[in-house]
Amino acid sequence: MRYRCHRRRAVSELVATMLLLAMTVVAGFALFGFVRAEAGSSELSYAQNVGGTIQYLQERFVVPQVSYSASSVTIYVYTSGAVPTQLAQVEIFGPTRAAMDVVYDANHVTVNAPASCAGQSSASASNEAPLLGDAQGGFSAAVDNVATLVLTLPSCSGLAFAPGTTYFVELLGVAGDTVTYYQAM
Amino acid sequence: MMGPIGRRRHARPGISGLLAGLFVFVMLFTVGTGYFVFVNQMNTAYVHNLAANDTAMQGQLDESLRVIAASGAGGDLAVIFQNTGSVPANVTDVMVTDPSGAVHGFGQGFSAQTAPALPWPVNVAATSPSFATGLPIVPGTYTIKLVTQRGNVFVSSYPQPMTAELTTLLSSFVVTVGGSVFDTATLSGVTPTAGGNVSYSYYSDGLCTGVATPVATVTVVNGSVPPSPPVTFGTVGSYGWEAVYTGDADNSAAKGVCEPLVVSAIPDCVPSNVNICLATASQGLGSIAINWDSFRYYSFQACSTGTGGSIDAGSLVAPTTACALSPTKVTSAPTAYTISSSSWESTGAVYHAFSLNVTDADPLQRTMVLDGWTQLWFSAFNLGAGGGRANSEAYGMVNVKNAAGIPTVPITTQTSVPSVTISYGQTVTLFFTINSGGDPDNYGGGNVTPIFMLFHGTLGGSSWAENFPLTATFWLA
Repeated sequence: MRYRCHRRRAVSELVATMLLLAMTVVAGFALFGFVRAEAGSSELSYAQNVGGTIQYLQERFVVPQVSYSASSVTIYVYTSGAVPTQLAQVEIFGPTRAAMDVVYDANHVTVNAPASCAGQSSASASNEAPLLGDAQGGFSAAVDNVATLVLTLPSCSGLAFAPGTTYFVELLGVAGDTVTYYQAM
Repeated sequence: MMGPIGRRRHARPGISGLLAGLFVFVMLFTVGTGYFVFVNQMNTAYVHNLAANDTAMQGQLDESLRVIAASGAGGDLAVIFQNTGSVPANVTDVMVTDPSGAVHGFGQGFSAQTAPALPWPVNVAATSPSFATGLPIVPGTYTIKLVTQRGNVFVSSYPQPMTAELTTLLSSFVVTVGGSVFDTATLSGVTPTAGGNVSYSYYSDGLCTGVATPVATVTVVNGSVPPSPPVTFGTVGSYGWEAVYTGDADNSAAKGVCEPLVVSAIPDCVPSNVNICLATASQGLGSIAINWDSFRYYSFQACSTGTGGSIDAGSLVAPTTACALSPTKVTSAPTAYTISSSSWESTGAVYHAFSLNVTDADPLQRTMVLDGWTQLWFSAFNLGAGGGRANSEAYGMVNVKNAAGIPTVPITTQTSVPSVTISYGQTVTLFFTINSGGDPDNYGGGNVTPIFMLFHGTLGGSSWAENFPLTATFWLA
């Protein structure tokens, strides 16, 4: 008895091929997505790191002069770098930190010394003019320009600038640069 | 013959694997390349900014400006910049603190401007024009700060601090034992309101070395310096006086030169009239210039024969060209000087005090040494041709400043003294007293002429006789 040979493809082979293709594509896209996400995350982290460093390098400023009254100090800030200068914090102390130490930042004015005046108050236009920090309208010294910052001491008996005393002004830029200047009243 | 099972299959490549591999490669290549490009860009930006920062810092170090403040055309404060650095500078701001303490800003970031306006570039070694600030000048001190684009701050003040000079004058350079001396200091180059203190002191040598003995500290009022109180010296010897000015806020400190003082034994009479004759001489091997304008002769007041007196403050005696000396022989000698007295008649006059300034003027700029071979000669008589009796009469080295001190007994022979080194161009003051030796005052009767010469070197008998008395030859040690 002779059998006729039917040329038929097995369904299983086709399905298998399609399944393999689908799995490969899915796996490929999944891998691509994963790698891309990882690369993106790495790029973001790297960009933030390098960007911060570049901003640090571009941020350069000096204090050529300060002038005092009994209750306030006017700080002249000159930007010699490539980006406008914004300040995160200013610390005023002198002649030692035990005698007077007042820290100004975008949110608070903190008196560390003298101990009788120690405490914290909110930063406002009355004690920071303009306000510190990187917010719009805050202190900013344009490139190649001098800008003035007036910091007023909180009202407290015994907290005042005394003639003949040398005070230190330590400025912290938003990018991390610091400048220390001292001058007698 | 093959059945259905054993039929030979055609070999076909698996397209799915190939495509998948290709897709994966393309995707990873895309992500990797993008990451690489991104990192490269970040790195480039970082390197660029780091280099810019380094360049800025280097430029900041190389930048140097001199600030000159002056009264401008309208009497207002004006500022001039001089670039003394090695890179061009750009002045962006000027800040002036006036005498009241108020700060005035000019330039970028300030509403006020100088005329001409800032910023202003200043090339290397260049000077800017005058920048008028419009600030009226009032009494007091202005502090001027200029800010450059690189962030340097250079400071000056107006008026500029004065450079004080302190000149001093002792009441006498030679006193006898028991005599007193005071010092008078004068300030110059100071502000009209100069204050501070001047401290007077003296040393036990003529060079102001060793331990100082304080005399007094006086207060300077409006630039005027009170003199020191007198100090009595009871010991023969050489001393040095010195005055020091402390300076004040507007004037620099200053120190006067060391003033030598010789305290001698109480002498007998000295001539009351001394003339000096300066003879021109040719250049010798070495040369010491004697400044006759510095010649100081100390006479005695109320002098009587054979008794002592007090030495006065000395007087500068101008040289005279009316000397009639014989012979006038000058041989290979740089200088020759004489002192003559028309009234050198006092028998027994043994000590006569003189001082003069001597400068090493050797054209070869070698250092001269006055040592034991140095002889200061005096002749109290007229000499005949060829030297006459000079070799046997009054002579002898008597004293060199800072040496053994003025002798207390008559000297009839050469005195050995310590060395005194005079560097080229340096001036020292020689103090000496005349040793009349074997009664030269009475030689020949009538007027006699004391002559002194300064010899240095190993002179042979014939040599010095040949040059004696009018030559003073200084041989190199």
